[in-house]
Amino acid sequence: MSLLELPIGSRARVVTIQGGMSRRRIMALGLREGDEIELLYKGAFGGPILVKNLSNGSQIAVGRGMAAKILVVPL
Amino acid sequence: MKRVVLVGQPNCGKSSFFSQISGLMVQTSNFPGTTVKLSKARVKFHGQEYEVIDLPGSYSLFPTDDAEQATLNFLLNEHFDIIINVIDASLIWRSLELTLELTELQKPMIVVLNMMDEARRRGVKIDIEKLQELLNVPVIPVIAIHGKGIYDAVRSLREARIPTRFTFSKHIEEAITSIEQKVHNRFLAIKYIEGVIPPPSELAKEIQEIQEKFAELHGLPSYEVISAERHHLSMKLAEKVTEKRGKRKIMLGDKLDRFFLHPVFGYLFLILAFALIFATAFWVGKFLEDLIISPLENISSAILSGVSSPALREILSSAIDGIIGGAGIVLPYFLPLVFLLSLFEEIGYLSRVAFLTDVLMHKIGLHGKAVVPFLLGYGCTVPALMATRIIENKRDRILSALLIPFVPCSARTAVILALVGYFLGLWYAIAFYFGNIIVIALVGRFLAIFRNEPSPELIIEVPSYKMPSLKIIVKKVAFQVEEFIFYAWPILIAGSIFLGVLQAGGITNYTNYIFAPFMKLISLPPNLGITLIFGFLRKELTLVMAAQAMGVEVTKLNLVLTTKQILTFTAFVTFYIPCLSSVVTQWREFGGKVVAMSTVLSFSVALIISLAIAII
Repeated sequence: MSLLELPIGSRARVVTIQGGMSRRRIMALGLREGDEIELLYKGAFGGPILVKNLSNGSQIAVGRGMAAKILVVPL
Repeated sequence: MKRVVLVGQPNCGKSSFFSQISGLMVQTSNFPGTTVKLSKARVKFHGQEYEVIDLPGSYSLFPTDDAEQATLNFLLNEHFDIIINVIDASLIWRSLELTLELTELQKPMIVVLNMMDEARRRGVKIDIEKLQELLNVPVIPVIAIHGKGIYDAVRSLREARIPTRFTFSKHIEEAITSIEQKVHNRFLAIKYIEGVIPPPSELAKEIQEIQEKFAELHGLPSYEVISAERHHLSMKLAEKVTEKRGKRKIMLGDKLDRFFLHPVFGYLFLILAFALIFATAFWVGKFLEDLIISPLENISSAILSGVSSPALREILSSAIDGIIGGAGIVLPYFLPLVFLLSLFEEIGYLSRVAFLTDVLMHKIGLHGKAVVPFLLGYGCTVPALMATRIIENKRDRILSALLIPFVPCSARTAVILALVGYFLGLWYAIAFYFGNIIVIALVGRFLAIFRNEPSPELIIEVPSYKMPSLKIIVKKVAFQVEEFIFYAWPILIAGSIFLGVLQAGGITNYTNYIFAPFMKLISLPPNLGITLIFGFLRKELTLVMAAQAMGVEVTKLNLVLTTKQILTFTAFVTFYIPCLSSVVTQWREFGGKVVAMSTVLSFSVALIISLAIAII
């Protein structure tokens, strides 16, 4: 499933990050395939999604379009 | 003198560290050919002088924005002796990746482990000795915002050493070595293979073969192959130097977000916070303005009374008006606004603002990160235009540069409050501001028609909340104010003098005549023509100019203008070309094409709105 479908507060493992430039940016910010994440918040009115990377402690917000390109397996 | 570069990931506290070692004597300039800021400072320590250069925050040296590109270019092309790598200790797992990339430069280096207090609170224990041993460079624990460990860090610059040479898997290492033998630079060899910089023609074929081989073996572009290896190396390194994490405490900061990012309370607080910011800024601004203006005016009239020639008097008076306009009208409102915004930024709330406003900003074709320059725009357009540098995408920067001039700065706010607020009432003024936001959104949508790709998605780091440091906030404010004083103010004064010359030469008398048909079109008295046409030379004095043109006092303008005319006039003043300083800034930052677009756009919008008000 994509990050979009993951319920708030649940944990998952990132399987694939799609997209060209955005994929590079996300990886640079410290979110990589194989990392365990926790979905912290979903912005109201279709706002961005905040995830915590449990593998390194960083927090990243991504827009919903990008979130749809991040495929995860719930843990 | 030794040249030291400061490199670190965004939000690692690198600027705080730089502030602590640099004192107040900081020189700033732009990287050649870019708008990325470069800050330098000289530090003297035990007889050794260092020039410390604060390179822009970079997640990696595989650039994904202008700032990272500037850092990479500097490391590749400029001379330096020592690298200080600043790391957020609480995020050591991620931060070491950049550290490893820096070791590839094989230059003397020290590592500064910043935010040790935060790391401790998060249950991250780092074996500093071990890290020192594995990297073969001094590692200094620091709490930059409290100034702890700064002395040790500067002292250890003498002990900076060439770091350990980390090796990749065999086949990658072979490829690197092969190129390295030809270019005699490991870092450069890696960057060629990664495809970050185009190789010289004699190496092009070999590099391409390597890249193809990597693609075949891993099914990934070469930069990802190397970056993944580096990631594993850094994770291994981090594992060796961190103790198994104890039970992670739920931090106060984590709880705060439950409120600040809440779909209802988060937005309520956002509105409240900004209402408070603006109220405070205007309240403090008014206080400062009253404090500054009358002594300045006294000095001004004292000077002018000594001048007998009427022409000279006119010009001198304009010059003084320009000075007063900057010191007495713009600065008092700008200062508190910038202070409060810097405070929000330091605490970490601004990235939450970006999170909350992302949807809204998407409506005008931008994303949440762009909200900061727009907010600054309520203070002064010039620093707001400069602040668009934080937007990584060029197209978004230009879009912001076209929209920001529509945000009423403090000079225009003075006009709005005095005309609409004073004569028509507070609710009209509030409605005017909301109307302004709607117009900006509509113009943004209109401009979106010309963009053939959708605006890029928001991808930002949301760092943990931090205790703000007054010293750093003061520095940030000083920096913004400096930009106003050195860039905007001189142009404001020059524009004012120019207008004075025109008036002394009697040229302005003809303008009203020429523009009379235009003024008739938007139903304003012809006398106001000069105020509108030359207003952009000194918009902060629009009100005074309007009163002069109509031959009444400012407080009696409602006797000679109808409600509609007051609205039309204010709208026109608010929406058309903000001022000469902003035009010059646009020119310098974005070039003539953007200035031309912005001028046409703002004039059209001002005209359409004035016509609309006149017709309704």
